[in-house]
Amino acid sequence: MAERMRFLVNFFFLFEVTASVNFYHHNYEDLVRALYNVQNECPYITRIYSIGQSTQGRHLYVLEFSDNPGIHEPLEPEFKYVGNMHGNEVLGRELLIQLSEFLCEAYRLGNDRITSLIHSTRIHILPSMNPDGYEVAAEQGPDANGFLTGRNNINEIDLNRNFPDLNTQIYYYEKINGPNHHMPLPDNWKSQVEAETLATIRWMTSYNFVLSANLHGGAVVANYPYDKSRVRSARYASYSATPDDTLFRKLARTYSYAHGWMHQGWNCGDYFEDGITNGAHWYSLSKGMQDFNYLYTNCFEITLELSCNKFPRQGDLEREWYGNRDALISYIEEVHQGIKGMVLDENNNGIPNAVISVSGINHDVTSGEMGDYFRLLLPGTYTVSASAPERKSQSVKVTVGPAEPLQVNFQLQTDKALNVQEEKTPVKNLNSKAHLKKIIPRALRKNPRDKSRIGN
Amino acid sequence: MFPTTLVLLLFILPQGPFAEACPTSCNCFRIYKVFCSDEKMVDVPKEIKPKFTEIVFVETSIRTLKTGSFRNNTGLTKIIFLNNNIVSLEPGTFIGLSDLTELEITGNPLLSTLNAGIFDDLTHLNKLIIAHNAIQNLSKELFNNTEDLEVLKLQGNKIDNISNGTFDQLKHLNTLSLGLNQITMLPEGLFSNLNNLKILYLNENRISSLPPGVFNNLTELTDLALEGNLIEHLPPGIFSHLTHLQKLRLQDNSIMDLPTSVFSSLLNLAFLNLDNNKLDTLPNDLFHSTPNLFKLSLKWNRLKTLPEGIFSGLFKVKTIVLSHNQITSLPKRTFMELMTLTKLHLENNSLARMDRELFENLTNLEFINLSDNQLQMLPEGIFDSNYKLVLVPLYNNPWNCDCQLTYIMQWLHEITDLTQNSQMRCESPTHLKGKPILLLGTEKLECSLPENAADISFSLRRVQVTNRFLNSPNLSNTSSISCTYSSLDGATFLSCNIPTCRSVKVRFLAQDESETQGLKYSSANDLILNSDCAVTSVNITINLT
Repeated sequence: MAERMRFLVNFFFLFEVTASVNFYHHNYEDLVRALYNVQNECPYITRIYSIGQSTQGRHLYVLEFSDNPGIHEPLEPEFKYVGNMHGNEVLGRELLIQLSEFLCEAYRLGNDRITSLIHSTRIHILPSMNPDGYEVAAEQGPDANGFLTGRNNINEIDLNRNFPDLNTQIYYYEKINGPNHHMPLPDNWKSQVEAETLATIRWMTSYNFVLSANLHGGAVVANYPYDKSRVRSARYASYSATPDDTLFRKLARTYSYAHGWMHQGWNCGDYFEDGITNGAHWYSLSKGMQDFNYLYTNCFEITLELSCNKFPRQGDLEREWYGNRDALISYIEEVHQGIKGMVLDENNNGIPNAVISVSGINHDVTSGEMGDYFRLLLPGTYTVSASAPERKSQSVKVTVGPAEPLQVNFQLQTDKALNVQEEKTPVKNLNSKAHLKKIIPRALRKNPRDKSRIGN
Repeated sequence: MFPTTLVLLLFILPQGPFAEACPTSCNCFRIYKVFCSDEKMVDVPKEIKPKFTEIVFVETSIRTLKTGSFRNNTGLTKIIFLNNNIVSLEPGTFIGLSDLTELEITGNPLLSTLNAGIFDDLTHLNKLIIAHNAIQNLSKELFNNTEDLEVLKLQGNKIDNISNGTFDQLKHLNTLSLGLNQITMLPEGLFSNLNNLKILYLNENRISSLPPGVFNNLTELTDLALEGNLIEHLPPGIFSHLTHLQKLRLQDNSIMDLPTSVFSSLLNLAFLNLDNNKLDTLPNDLFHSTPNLFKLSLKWNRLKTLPEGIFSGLFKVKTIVLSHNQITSLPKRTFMELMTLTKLHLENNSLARMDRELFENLTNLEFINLSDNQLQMLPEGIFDSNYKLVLVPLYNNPWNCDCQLTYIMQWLHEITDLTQNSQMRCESPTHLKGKPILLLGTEKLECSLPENAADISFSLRRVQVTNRFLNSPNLSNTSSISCTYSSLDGATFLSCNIPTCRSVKVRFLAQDESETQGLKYSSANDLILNSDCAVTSVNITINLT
């Protein structure tokens, strides 16, 4: 059935690619020029911003697509793609450049599907998270490229083992019924991560991303969290499901079935049923970016392994693009499912950082700065509740369908009885006082947060 | 595990290995590349160490490129400016840069003029990109000294007029992009010296007519983009010298008619796009000399029908797009012999009738879109030779849900994924209106005499039903059999419900030379009919009352 659907998608996805598209490996300069070219060709729907610089000083440029670039519109979800985190896994980088050019061109040609996608979604594309490593790998070229040359950043650090480990904590909290989202970071985390990682974490926290994928190479499979095995001493791989496991499996399957051949399962000498795998079930990985997204932000991220050859030959890029094009678009469209809505106070001002819980799923999400929240969910009936400090919680029963996300708004009244202590304050903003407070013992707190009233 | 020593090193050498030699507020990579992206930078660095040969400026605050900006850096081979808000280039900006092979100045919305002679020092320039600025005029002498140019991209400016001779020195040019400008007309001799040109983009300008010989010397051209202009008529011989042309984009113009032989020299043409023009007819022989055509798109025109045999000779065509026209019917041999055709778009037309033979022998056809038309039925067997066909959107047609739909409904159930047509609904009869067709059982698809049958009388004189499964008696008195008939394109269709056998369809050609449509027929001999449940022998007379 799913395969048939894929067939359909494939056929209805009839785009007119008229511009001659160039398939070649883009070094840093080519990448920058390609991004600016897209920005100049589609100035009204794009923006380029840098989230920081690599260790050697290369910018980590992000290209944003939106009908209102640079602005978060309430109820319009934020999506991101990250490529080339391992410098020598270059296909993601090239695909994201192609995707950018494609989105711009299809929009200009008035393609319905792309137009409505850009009008309803804010898409952020970071083609290269490790531009320094890329240059090292590119110097070797596709053929001479070793398995590891250029994988790490210039300090020889593997960026996908460089994020703070939050799994240990969450696995402990699972047992004692502790917090289930937005894990606090250790005080000294900034000094323990690389420049690229730091820039990426700051990026992840300054936008309320809902869905994301991290593009890798070396296999062909869609890998979903957790990456780190729950069984501490497991020498062998063991499935480590998140509370959102069925949803993650569907997200991964969406990519694999829209992909030209990923869903077939047999690729690069490995077999993965449906072309998907739980990360830890494949091999356990600590301090990865995927788990960090899920445990520290509202973002659901999967990791896409896209080519057997980490540095494919130039001649293979065109085939890879057509194999991935539908999948890259279909996956972005997945951001529109489940429920979303506003959490408002009695004056209809948005309440940021309100906690949205879904009964039966032990993973909450929080509302963004404008009070809007997004909760990806599979079709079904759920009891959803919203809570915020010093306010009465509210619960509602909703039935989610397969198509458009259902809009469920909450209005939370002040609750004087509850007042002071609401331990559930989620950590949202990296630099906020709330975050610091979280990890300081309560006895040491100087002044309770009373002036930071929301919505004024 | 965590190498803290490396992190410390990072603080000691924050700028990387080339820090010392690198111009302030820039970054240097790979020994020879300089990247400057400091928004406080207002000038090109005074001195760049000779080992650096390439420099890129991204979103700096440089407003003016001053005379002799690179005087001390004459070893540069590549200079790139991306989105810097440059307002002007002083004369002599590029003095001394005779080794420069590539120059790009892009994304400066206030840069409106290029002084004549500005590129005169760049005698080895190979690639020049001056895109997405506000350049209005190209001085005729602008490219006089840049004879080595192979790539010249000027898209996204405000150029409205180019004088003859502007490109005459550029004999090595292979790519010229003038798209997204405001050009209204092209001098006939503008490209006459560009014998090596392969790619020419003139898209999204304001060109309303083309001088007949403007492309005559572009014999190497493979790619020509003219979309998004105001062209109404094409001179008959406009493309007559472009024998190497592979891609021709003419969409989004106002073309009203095409000269018969306009494409007759395009032996290598593979992609032709004529979408969104004002074509209401096509000449018979339009595609007779384009045997390599791979994809043809004609959507959003005003076509009402197509000449018979218009596509014959397209031995390689894979996709034909005819959607969003006003086509009411197609000659039955329209697609004959298109053995390679895989996708056919006919959606959003006014097709009311399809000939049974229309898609015959199209054995590679995988996709036909017939949605949003005026179809009430499809003839039995219409898709019988399309073995690979799996996708046939049929929704948004006024389907008449009677026994004539039995074939297509069974075919859809058997061959296709039903989700593609879940929105296919009955328009008539009234009691089925709005019902999704694929959820109906075939037994709901009944045929009966139309209500206004009073003015038509016909009888099945003698019907013999021989059936090895049903031991039904021969039907000699057939007055109880109800039939419907319709007359389409000279053929008469007759559908009868016979009690023992759900539906028998009779189809025969009108043999009446007087061209009265089908309402008069008398058959002397019995017709032997094969239906899905019986072999029937029928003798028919139809008379007008």
